[in-house]
Amino acid sequence: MKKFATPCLFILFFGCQSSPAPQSDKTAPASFSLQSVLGNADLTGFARADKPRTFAFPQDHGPHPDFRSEWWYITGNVDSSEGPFGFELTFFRQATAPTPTDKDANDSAWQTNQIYMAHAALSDITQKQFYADERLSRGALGLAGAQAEPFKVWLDDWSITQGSDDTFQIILKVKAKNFALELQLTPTKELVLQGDAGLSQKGQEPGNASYYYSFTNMQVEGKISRRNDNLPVRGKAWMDREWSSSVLDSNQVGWDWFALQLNDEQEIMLYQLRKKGGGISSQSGGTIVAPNNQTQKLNADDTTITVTHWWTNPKSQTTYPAGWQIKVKGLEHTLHIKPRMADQELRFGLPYWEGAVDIFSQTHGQKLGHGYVELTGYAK
Amino acid sequence: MLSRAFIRHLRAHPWLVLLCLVGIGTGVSVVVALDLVNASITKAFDYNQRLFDQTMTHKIVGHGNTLNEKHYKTMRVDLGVRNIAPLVEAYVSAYKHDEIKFKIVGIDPFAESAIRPHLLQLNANPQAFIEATEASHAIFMAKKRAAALGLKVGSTLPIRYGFKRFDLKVAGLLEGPSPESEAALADLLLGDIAEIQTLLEMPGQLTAIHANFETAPEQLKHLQNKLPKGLKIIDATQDARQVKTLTENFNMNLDAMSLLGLLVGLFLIYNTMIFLVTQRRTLLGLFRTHGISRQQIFHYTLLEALALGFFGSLLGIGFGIVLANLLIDLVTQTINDHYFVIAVRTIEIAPQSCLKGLGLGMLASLSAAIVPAWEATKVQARTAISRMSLETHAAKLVWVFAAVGGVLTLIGVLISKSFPSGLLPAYALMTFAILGGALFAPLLTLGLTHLLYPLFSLAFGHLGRLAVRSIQTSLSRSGIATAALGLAIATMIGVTLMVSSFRLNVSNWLKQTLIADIYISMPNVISSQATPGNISPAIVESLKAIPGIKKVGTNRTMHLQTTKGEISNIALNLSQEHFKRYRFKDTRVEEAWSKFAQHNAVIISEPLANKKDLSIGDTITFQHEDGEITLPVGGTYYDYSSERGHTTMHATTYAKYWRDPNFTALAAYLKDGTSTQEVIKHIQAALPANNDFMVRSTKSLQEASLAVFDRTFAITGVLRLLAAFIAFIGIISALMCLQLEREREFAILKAQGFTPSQLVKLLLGQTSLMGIIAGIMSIPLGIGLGYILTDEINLRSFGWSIESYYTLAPFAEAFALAMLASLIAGIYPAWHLIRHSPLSGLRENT
Repeated sequence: MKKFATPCLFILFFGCQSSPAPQSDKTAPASFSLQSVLGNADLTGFARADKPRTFAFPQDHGPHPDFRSEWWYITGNVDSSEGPFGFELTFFRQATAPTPTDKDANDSAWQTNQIYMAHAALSDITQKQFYADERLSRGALGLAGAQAEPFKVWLDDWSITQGSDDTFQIILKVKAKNFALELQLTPTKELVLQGDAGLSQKGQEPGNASYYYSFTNMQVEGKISRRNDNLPVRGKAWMDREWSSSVLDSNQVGWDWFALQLNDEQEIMLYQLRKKGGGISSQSGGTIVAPNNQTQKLNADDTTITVTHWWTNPKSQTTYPAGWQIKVKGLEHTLHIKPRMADQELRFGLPYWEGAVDIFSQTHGQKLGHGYVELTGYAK
Repeated sequence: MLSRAFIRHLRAHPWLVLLCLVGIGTGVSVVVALDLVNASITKAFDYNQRLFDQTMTHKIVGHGNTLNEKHYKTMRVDLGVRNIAPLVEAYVSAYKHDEIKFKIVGIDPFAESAIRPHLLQLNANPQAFIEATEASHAIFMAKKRAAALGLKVGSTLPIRYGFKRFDLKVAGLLEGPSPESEAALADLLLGDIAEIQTLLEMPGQLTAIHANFETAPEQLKHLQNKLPKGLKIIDATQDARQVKTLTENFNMNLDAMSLLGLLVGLFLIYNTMIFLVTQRRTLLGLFRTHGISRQQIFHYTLLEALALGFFGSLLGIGFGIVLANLLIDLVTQTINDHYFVIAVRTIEIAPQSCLKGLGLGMLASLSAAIVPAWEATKVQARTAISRMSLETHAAKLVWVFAAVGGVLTLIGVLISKSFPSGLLPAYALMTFAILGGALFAPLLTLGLTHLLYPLFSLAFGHLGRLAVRSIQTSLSRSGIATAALGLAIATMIGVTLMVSSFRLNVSNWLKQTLIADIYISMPNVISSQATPGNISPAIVESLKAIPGIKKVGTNRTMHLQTTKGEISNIALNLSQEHFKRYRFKDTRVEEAWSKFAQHNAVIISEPLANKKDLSIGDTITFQHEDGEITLPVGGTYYDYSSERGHTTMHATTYAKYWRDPNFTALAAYLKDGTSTQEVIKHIQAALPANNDFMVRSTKSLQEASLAVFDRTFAITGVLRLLAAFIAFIGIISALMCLQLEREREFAILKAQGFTPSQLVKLLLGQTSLMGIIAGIMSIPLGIGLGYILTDEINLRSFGWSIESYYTLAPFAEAFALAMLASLIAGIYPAWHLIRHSPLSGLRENT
């Protein structure tokens, strides 16, 4: 699951891209909400994630244009000679209409129902500096798009491409404002189907679900640059793939999502869907991936997530949780999750917090690993 | 004391003051009106520019009318150039709404955010734009404009593009943050690029790529290094300037007209001032005896002129604002016909235009008053009463004036000959020639009175002789009055000659060039823009099959990029027979033909030759996607179709280098004995249904072309009327002053026993004589002015040589006007004469 926050920005392009500076403090029109994109709008003609499917690769790495929303989501923690960094690169696809328009020879090549958006961010943990940028384009004329063979998803000159024929080794290329990424990601573990064999139910209503798989452990090698420097980096990344036509029930307002990579080669994915007026949806849950790739599905009552700290961004006046205590059934430690730096808010059309975190043992205090957390629906 | 006396004097002569004010006012009003019109248009143009281009630093264009959209993808995806946005645009007419012209622009909203975020914030409902990408022919338009046309969201706006009609759907309304941006939005129809590209039938093509590299100079550098072949990066400010220069010639011509108006006004002021001085000779003489210095008199006379200039100019500014509102429609019509779409519905009262008018009016009054003021200082206590001294002096000066006039004219000629291009030398020539002509006036008056003496003597006997003599003896007044009068009439003649000659040239040229029987074209929204749309070869074939058609002529007009800038090129499948109808300036038609038909030569129209400094033997290098194509110039031909000029090449030459099978217009040549109307019906039946092709006989095309010509010169017509009005006022004021001044003379005659009817006859004889003299004088002056307007100003600004045609009409018209005005001018003095006793007249002047 995760990250259905941002596709709604497609509709916000009028406001959200108005400043070339990625961290502009422009506020989005109040009329937009997660519901407008991920809720149960008129979905006639769209395919639905209403039953289990047989995943087929590499085809499923490519786009599913019959579904309304889709994303390729990569986050990771890397180390360099100048300290640790967190990074994010996400491509979103959103269909504005169900069926692709039938094209005839005279039709414009610009005609499309597919819109792409990309977000890239870099957290310089040592300098406490957060860089973020976004791109938006129609999925036409080759300006943006996705394909399965060879795997590629791109928007302008930002891309994720396949680096090798036999494994799902991928190359990330981003030249954003004030920073750049050029990273090679190699899976060290098998692909994990989330939810029930890849069907991840989010709302009560049937069909309010997504198809969801992840690479929870990928080795990262490459370089990053802030302004004009060039730093070799190494580390770990996580990739999520998800597509759906609607996920949220009408009473759900946002979610907190955790991608945790422990040093003992265990990975934990957790999410909790927050309800209007407080409370957690019973559809919340997660997965534990064991070092031997065995997966264990977690239900809402298998986890307890307690917020220990809050942080208010002085620029946006939005308050986010900024520390958690997490108990997971069957896990030896109680986890203490702490942001590696406070300000990792992406202040685009619909702001969200997506940041690198440290994982500590609540009882012994020792560091257990790193991860990424996404917090949506907090911005007023 | 002096000022009180002057004011009293002015109060005693309210008519004189009024005429003077009207004279200054009319002159100033023309300047102010044209300046206001120009300022309003420039402002509207700037707003339009700014709306689209305020954040644009560069424009990337292809070498033809369009560029391939694949280059855009290359720039964004392969080169990583981000601050760019694609654009397709064209002009369309809303045929059900009085043929209002709109600029329809297709944009990619995703890309716009990096270039023109403000554009996307004009719409209150951003979601609508996305939805619009799915609706058919959806556009956004200004809320106010929509309301004015009775449209709302969901309404249909029928438009014509090329020969096709479309129903656009109003998907959303745009609201500008300020009245200026509202005005700029008024001409705009904004849509998604995919929709507009399909509608404009330009699949795969863009009009331009706009860029904002202000914050990303490295992107520009990168693009410059890696620019795909066949593309060009243009500096946006330069581009805007180029569009603006389109109308520059037109504006300059208007300026010339307003200058003329002011010049004529200058003479009126001069005339009034000198009259005031003359009237006050007694008063001034008295002052001198009271010890008031010459300097004081000089200063006060100038001060008075300044005051008159001030109030006259105020009046003129008022007139000017009214006039500007009348003229604005005519001017915008011309601009919309020929240059670009602009909607200016109201005149904005620009303070600088008013100040300019005030300044010019006062300056003109001041400079016109210098000579009279100087003359006022010459008044000696002793000689003040005797005007003979002045007149004796004037008779001698006549030759000096003429000589100075000759020298001035010569200087004007020398200036224009030394600087054969640019408009300023032509303006200098006009000014010097007018001044020179005016200085010649007294000599001409003297000469003409000698010539007319026997004639008047024969016709009116004693009274006739008296009338002529009195003019001769009051040369210092009558000379100037007739000069002002003659000049005003000459202005009318000159402008009429220019326009009528031009029209005749165009009409002859049309007859000469339009030799096919039927013309098939697409409605062109704006003449300086490329004709939109394509006529396919299939249509040509279907016409060929129509019985009665002997041959189908084809025309492909495209704007092509050359090393000398964008040039409109016409490709024609001409036969030698038809080619022979061209008139060449610098070569024999046979020679031009062999180069044209066999050696890929282009022939160039005269305006192009003048504008781009090209002539036979030169070459033109066209920039093409595949590289450069250099073609020789085979000759320069006379052409009045475009002031920007054309190159013309044979259809085979065009086909050889450009892969473009379509056509812009067709011509049908009929077999002998075929009915044109019948064939027109057949052609209409053969053309695609529901189209807006214009199928016209040669005659109706000629008429339509001349109608556009007339519309273009409508503003000149208005200005000519104004010149006539100034002339009319001028004549009346000059003559009336003169006659009022003669009161004493008449008083003596009355005392000597002349009957009132005899005196009225004498008076009217005098004024009509001056009318006649002015009328005669205006003939050479008018011809000279006509020459300057036609062969200097027009040639320099538009590049057209125009053969002058002289018809009787403008002269007769001008003469009649002069006579009428002079008779009217006699009425008030005559009435004055009858009502007042001779003694009062005598007393007043002693």
